[in-house]
Amino acid sequence: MENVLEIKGLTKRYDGFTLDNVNLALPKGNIMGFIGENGAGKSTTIKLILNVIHRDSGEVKVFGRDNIEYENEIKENIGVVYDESNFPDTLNAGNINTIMKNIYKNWDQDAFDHYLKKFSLPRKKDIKSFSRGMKMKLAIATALSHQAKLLILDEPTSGLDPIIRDEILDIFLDFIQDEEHSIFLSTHITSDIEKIADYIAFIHQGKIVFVESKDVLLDTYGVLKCRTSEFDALDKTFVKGYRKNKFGVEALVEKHKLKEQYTIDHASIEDIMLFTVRGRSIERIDN
Amino acid sequence: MKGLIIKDLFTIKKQGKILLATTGFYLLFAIITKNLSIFGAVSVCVSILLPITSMSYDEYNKWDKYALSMPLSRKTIVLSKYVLGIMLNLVVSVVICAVNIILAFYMDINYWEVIATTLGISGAGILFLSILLPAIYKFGVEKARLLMIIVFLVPTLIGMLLSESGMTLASWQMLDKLVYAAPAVVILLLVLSINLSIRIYQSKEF
Repeated sequence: MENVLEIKGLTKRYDGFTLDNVNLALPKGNIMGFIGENGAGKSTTIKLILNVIHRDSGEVKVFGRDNIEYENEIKENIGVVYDESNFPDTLNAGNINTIMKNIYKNWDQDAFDHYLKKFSLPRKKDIKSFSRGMKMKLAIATALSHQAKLLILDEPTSGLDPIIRDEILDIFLDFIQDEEHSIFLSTHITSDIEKIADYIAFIHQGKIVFVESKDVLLDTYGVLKCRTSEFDALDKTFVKGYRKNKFGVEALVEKHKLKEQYTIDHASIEDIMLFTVRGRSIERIDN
Repeated sequence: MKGLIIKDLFTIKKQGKILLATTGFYLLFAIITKNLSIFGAVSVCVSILLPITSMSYDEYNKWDKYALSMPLSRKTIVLSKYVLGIMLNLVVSVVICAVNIILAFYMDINYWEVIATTLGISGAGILFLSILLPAIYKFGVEKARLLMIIVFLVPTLIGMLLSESGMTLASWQMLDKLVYAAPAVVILLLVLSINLSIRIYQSKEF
């Protein structure tokens, strides 16, 4: 399958933080959720993809081409939304239409109008008077109106209420109906990812912990709840992380590999993330 | 480039109106007193303040990070600010020149002097712009504001000192000759300034 985004050995060093040898690939037509706690390196990775900051080593390919060498061509075909609106707040939606018409070759005024109506955004009101949700919708409308093939979204839903978040996720699902379209979405809201992502890349302290298809993750792992004595007798090869408390042990396990009959709960992406990072892990989840 | 300039014009439209009203007031003052110097100085200040205002909006909203996600090179982004500044400078120069010509009807001013004054004022504007933009790209709008005050004050102080020092007529004549070289110096500084700004902006991270 053709990769729309490919990152190899990407490294960026800061004083006190290193984005360390990041590797991942997003196959065309899919949504990849890029998860990790605040400060894990999600925004740094996205900024490196966009060449807004300079990498120390590694390479980034978008649509199969180097992100720096073919920067402008790539940027004609991607739509970007950051975690906040970056428009000067004295502008209005009508202004943005005029501005973008003069920036993007493929700016589609009708599409923009369509999204403004769909999101009930006023054309002539200053952005200043918009709520956070409206500002984000405007940024999304802008990202969707120049026939972008890849959306790169840096926590576009953070700080929004569940209703608006759900609306926005529906828009992304709509966008992905076209199989030429793909989405790379960073967030720390794991429930959003669980709703829409095909692939999940998990980053922790500047390092990729895993990149895996969501279905495989959800199918592989389960949360085992048992007594401490039972846990101690267990073959630990299949335990990816555990937490002991006064009632017993909770552990993230490869559920199909456990021979013993236990009740194993469904493991959410959040469970997988938490156990991997915070559980006293016996073995990291590696690919 | 065009899109960026349109965006800046939209961004500063409100400040622009206020500053326009202010310059309008000084224009009236200039016509009544038949003295254009304050009006000239104020309108040049306005032509520099507006691009800087747009940059302070950019900084506040992290616009540059966003602009760089669009098909715009870093060079284009920097150049657009210079073009905006020069455009505003041209508008101001045309207005000053027009007012001067009108005033010249009523007063005994020769046209050569009108052109010289206009060029002098717009040249000063370009000079200020050439000093301030690289400083803003390097240090950010807030810190560069201090420099802005210095840039405006120093020439005034020098002017005051010079007139206090009782220079001889000969040295004034020499200064007059220097004026002919001024346009070349201004253009050279502008080119250097653009190159410097681009270089600073290329290595910047957002």
